[in-house]
Amino acid sequence: MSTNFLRMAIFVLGAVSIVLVGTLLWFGLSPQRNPADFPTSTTIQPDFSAFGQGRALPGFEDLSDIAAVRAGVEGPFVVNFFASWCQPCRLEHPYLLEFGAANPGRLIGLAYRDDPINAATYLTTDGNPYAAVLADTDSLNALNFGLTGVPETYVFSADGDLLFRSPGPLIGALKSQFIDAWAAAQK
Amino acid sequence: MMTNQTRPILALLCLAVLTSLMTSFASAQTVSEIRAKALYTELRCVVCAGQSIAESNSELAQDMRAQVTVLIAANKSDAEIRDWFVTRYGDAVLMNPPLKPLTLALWFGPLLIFVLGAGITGLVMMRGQSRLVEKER
Repeated sequence: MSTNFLRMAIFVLGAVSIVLVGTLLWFGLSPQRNPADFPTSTTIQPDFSAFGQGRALPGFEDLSDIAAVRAGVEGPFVVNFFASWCQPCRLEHPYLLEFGAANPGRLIGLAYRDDPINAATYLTTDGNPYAAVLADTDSLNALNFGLTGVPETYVFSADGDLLFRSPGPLIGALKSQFIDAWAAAQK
Repeated sequence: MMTNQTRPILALLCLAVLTSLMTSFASAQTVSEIRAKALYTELRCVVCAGQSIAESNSELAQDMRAQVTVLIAANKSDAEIRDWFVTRYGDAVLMNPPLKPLTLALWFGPLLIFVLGAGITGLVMMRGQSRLVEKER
């Protein structure tokens, strides 16, 4: 083989590998990407088979029938997982109160891994934004919804199709995305 | 009094008792426990970075482990249990990503980069040799 051909081949192969490794690093080291975050997706539809199963919070028994609340109000709805022990949940709590007051019957709360007594105390002292609320005591709803942590919020269309999910507290960018998704859900 | 003849027999008896005790302890681990432990290592803890639910003690990992045992008790096969989690969390919940068109680069990318590297090295060596041959002329 001629040296010219070899030189050409080395150049081409070298260029190809630099481009390959370069693209890998470009996407892999992008500051927007946190490999520790579990990828959440709205293409995975939550399983509603255990929806509404759980334990009533003491003093909130009248709000424990999620099915009745869903049947009473037509239209899109929001499911929010929270816990009294969860600090980020307190960050979004003022906004949830505001949202729950502005959209009666639309916000459903599920207390994740929480003692129903503690969850009830939390909602009594900090205010209850939910139209219906239950303690997801066996975490079956959490797994059925593909929960990756609390708080997590899901926006559903009237037909129960998942439109948006916020894998963190509704503050900052997630809050504005949620507001946009909720506005889009009304159409 | 113990004679020299009874001693080895006694030793053998002790050994037999010990081994039977050990095997009975080993079999105390039921088939479903063994299956559950194997599945724990295959499922990713969704709140931890790069840990399986066997390694993590976070709340969600505990919930996922409990669900695995529930599903085993409900007579689900290992594949059905993996699918149960995949339908809720996506492929990322599996520690080993499944082989499909989207993940081809993930599985064979390193091999491709190795082949490229080996090719370049080979070509550089060939060039060195052909230069030598040209010099000798």
